[in-house]
Amino acid sequence: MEEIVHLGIPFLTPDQWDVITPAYKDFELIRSEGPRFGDMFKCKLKSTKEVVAMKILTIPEDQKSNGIPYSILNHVSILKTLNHPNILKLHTVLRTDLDVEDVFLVFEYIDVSLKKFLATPFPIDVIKLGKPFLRQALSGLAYLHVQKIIHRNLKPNNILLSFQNHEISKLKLTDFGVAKSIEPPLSPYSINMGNPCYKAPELLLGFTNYSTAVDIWSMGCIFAEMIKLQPLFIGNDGPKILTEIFCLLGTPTEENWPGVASLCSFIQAFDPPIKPKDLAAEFPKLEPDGLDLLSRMLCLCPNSRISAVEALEHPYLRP
Amino acid sequence: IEDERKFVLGFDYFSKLQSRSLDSSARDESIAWILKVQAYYGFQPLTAYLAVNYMDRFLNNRRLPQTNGWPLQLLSVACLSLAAKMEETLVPSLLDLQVEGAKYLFEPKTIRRMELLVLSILDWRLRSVTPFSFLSFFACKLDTTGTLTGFLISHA
Repeated sequence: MEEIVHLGIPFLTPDQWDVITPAYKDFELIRSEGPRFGDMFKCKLKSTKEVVAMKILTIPEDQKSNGIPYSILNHVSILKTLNHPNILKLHTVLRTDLDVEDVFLVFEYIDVSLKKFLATPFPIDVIKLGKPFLRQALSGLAYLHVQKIIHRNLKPNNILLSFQNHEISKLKLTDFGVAKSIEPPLSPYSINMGNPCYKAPELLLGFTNYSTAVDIWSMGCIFAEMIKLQPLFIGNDGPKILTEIFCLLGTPTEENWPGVASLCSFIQAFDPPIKPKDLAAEFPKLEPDGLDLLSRMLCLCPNSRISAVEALEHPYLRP
Repeated sequence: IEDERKFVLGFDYFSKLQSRSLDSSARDESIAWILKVQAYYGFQPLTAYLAVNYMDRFLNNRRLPQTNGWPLQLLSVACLSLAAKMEETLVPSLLDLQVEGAKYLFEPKTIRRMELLVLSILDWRLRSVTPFSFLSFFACKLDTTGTLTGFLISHA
């Protein structure tokens, strides 16, 4: 599941170069998110020398007969409604000649993803960064959830950071390619998007009526990853990750997750249920308040999981 | 709340309609067609409402080469297609969408480009807050279909 990051000049078609070279220069690929989601590259606006990030959304050839696909409409219209200091700002959608049917998104540029940051041996105490990190990440998430939007694909690659004097000066959530707005009528949601390592148990168990709590779970995994300096749950597919989750947090029971057995009969096969491990032993460096918040974010039952707004009020995050 | 301005029409829109620059009977015809297709495919009322919202916001910003005839029909198809994709789980293909006495038949490529033009004029703001957001909030259990359709027509 490793995303391939190859630095260099982005691979664009001649038409795409024609659109952007008149106004932009100094192109450099920063993240590749696979052919479906497009590459993110950085470039400089010729007029103001401002550095921006750009992403090109292309209509897949097999979907062209249906016009602009829902995925692109949803992605861009969600970005257009968002305005928060902890969410990567969409500056503009380039207007192109109608012969070019790609959609060019221009974002503010933030230098490093959490994934890159965690992979570099920084001389920084990551534990100390835990609080400011969570505060900013959760305020971005609380804002999204109030807007009734689920991100659905939170992972270290989609959290951008910039630093000043060894402290996080900016944190921005990005990549709303599979975000979903929850408005009635509620049709069953897709459960197939996102990296399995950060997927909530209700998604891995196949529940289609999930909600904003799936983002809190992912954020819990990411917070844990910052402390451990490696992903909390490692595996290539859903069943492997689910096993890892149950080994750490125990199997869900009717007591701690009402209704789980009727929706997912194989849970009853764990008899007696697996007992949860002691989180304090797993995270010896984390203070008790931090452990308490982490355990509430990694609560198996989505209805009992802490919300972003509640988490911001948690003693661990109080100034 | 400030963002709301981006979703509403200019105050002069209805006076433009009454004057020559927009043909209000052609607009009525387009809305009637949108409502027919909505009924044909069993779309939600919100879909038709959004389609008309997109169309009005477009007309408020841009003049079509002719105020009736094929340009307005192309605009109606593009707006309905965009609204259906935003709100419906099952969306007919662009060719199948052009039913119920559509006077002109457009190729998917033409509609796709019109969709792009509409999107750039609307600045990609498709998630308008509509009366439906409030209605479904207050009265999700009532069958409001009849009254809402009536509202649309009276609005027209």
